Amino acid sequence: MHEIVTSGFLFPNDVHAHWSVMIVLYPYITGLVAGAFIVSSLYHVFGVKEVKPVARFSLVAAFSFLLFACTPLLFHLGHPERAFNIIFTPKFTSAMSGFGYIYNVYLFIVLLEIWFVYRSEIIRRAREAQGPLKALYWCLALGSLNDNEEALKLDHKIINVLAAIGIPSACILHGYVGFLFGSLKSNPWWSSPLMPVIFLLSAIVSGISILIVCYWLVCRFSKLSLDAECLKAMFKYLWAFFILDVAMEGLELLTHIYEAHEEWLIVSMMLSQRLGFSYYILQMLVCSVLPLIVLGFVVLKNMQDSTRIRLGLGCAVLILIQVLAMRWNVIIGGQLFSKSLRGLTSYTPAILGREGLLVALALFLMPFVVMYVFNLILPLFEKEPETEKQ
Amino acid sequence: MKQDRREFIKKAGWTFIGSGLYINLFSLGTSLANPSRSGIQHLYAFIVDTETCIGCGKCVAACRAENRVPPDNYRTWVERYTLLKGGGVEVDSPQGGEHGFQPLAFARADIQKSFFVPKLCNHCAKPNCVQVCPVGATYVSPEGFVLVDEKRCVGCSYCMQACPYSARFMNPVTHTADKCTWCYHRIRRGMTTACVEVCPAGARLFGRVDDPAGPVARLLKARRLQVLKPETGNEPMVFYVGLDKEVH
Amino acid sequence: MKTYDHIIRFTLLIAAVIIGFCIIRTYMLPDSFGNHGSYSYAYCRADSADEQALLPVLHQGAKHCSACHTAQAALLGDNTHSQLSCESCHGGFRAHNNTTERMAIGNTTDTCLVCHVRLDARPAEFPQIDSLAAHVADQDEALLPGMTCTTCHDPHAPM
Repeated sequence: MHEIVTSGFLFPNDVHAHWSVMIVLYPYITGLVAGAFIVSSLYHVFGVKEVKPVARFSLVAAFSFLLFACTPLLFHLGHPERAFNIIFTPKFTSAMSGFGYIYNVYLFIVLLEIWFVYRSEIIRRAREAQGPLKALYWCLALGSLNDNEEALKLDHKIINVLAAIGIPSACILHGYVGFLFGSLKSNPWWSSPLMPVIFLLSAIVSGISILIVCYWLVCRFSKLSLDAECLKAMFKYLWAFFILDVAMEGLELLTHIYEAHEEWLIVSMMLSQRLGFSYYILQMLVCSVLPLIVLGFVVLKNMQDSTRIRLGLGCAVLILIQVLAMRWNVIIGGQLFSKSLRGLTSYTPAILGREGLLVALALFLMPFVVMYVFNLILPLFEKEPETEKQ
Repeated sequence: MKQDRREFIKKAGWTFIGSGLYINLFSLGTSLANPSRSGIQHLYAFIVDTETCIGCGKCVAACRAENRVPPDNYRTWVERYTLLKGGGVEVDSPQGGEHGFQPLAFARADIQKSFFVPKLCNHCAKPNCVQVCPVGATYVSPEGFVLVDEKRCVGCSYCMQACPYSARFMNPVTHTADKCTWCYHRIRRGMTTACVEVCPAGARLFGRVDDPAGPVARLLKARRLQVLKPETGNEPMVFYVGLDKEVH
Repeated sequence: MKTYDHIIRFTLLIAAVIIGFCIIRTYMLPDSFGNHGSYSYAYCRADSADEQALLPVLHQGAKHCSACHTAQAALLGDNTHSQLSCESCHGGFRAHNNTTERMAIGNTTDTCLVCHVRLDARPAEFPQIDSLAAHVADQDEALLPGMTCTTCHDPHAPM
């Protein structure tokens, strides 16, 4: 176990942080889900044609992240074998109980939308495949191979409805996490009506960023050609949401500083002594101000596509780091000062162990494995007529 | 044929939605009909007299022995406040005060005042720790004790984050939430809590609020009492005599 | 008909999942779990409180000790230490009849100083001393080797 460094006076039960890096990872993963889904809905609901190349992929990405969203929590729970208690006897006065039903309902919505989007492809493959693969596709189609005009039109309508329902569902899925922190009156670093808004906005920007990075990586390492207009549109939405996100985060900090409540003394000490690098330098400066300015140029200024893509990609990476840093600073930061308001403690995640960094990294990478496996069954990107898909 | 099937689906759909709504609204109604605390009586209160406490730590030791509290975790603890004439405040609680306290390195002349403050779970009347439990593992007993169901707790630690008094901890043996229970197992047998039992100074008092001869009713009448962090709205049931402004 | 075929199939699949879940929940739920007066504060397994009421008790209280230790109880009478529980100093009760597992606590000054060493935070009227040597000097006595508090003070009748 790592040494805990304390200073000042802490209540005896405040020395150990209860919520570890696993709890930082959970909103990060669900954030990626929400953002990816928003991009998909941009096409299916709002008719933003430019993002059509990534519309399917973003749905599958949302689904893959969603599949693994609950795993950090399972690794954290004292009794993961009792995890089903949260859907057997949920106590809805608790924001955390939202996890049971909101998560499952949303998983179901995304799964359903993927099914309808891919149905014609599944049916085509069910007809053309041989042997065990044929059985697989037949099962995926639930044994119904009708793809006549009317059925496909109906599918299209249903996709629109699902995408539309999915937007508030995605907002609730991520908003409740923010509310989980924001509604806690006993922790002055968390308690804020802005918390659900900040969590949701940062979720959206992280989702758009991961799609940008994944799309670029896929195009780079396969024969798929990069659609510059698609990326341009994604940069535009990324910048817009990021402005809102940074504004909200800045507003929260400003309010803390200005109102200078009783707890501000210890909270500011916690920020500068324990989170100096991750909060002020990483989250607020390097990964907020820099991408904000550079993305402005990327969106507004005329430049070569290649330059735009390179700059935008760099910003997307910085934003992914910013959102992770924000989750860390909020969740870990809130536990680094005692409720006595007189002391600070420390938290260093273990490398090995159930709640260690290695497990966290593995859980973060698993969705990408799922996407790869998915691609083996159904294509993530639609076949282009002129180039061959790998 | 097509029309028939469509009619059937419509009817089935509305029946499903209607019955779902009916069931949900009905159960919502019954749970709303029970306002927040009916069925729970707050029969007991705990009083801590910080003007009498001598900081011997016997209460912490007795609690640990009585309730098999794992080391480094505290169901109760004692804090010492030393207010200096210059305005500084020094607070300490070496191992929760379990083995008593040592003299501090301040000259007597520099000390404005100094006192001990025992702390424990406040068994609030409106506990927000109970409010945030996602699985109904922590609850208020019919007598008003805030307890944890060790068999249902999933160990999410949300209640520990919620408690404004840091009274809860994660038990490393049971991997569930743990906290002071006001020795519920002793109260049900007609005894008093372990900490009250062993306190040599009579700084801890426990009893029924409605017992006119008991210590609680007496002090409720005789002294001005405070609670910790009243602004939370949790309505704690541990009342303090002589709580100083420096105590959080 | 063909148009709705796949819709019907997945609806049936979901209905099966939901019904299956309801059946599992009925079996998995403990009998006494429910709303016991307040959804906010008493949505719990009612048996839990009764289970906790059966946890073993350790401290027995002074009356339990004085049943056998009548001499010490008589000494304590109503002197300054009589408001102390025996278990304050001797620890929580444990079976010690006719065994070597005694509950006597030894004769060192530390045992007494835990309560009686001078601390600024202690109430002024509470009897406190700076150290054994200082206290002995105060009493105009000589500090003899091997002297402890109990040389002069009977712990069951200290003053």
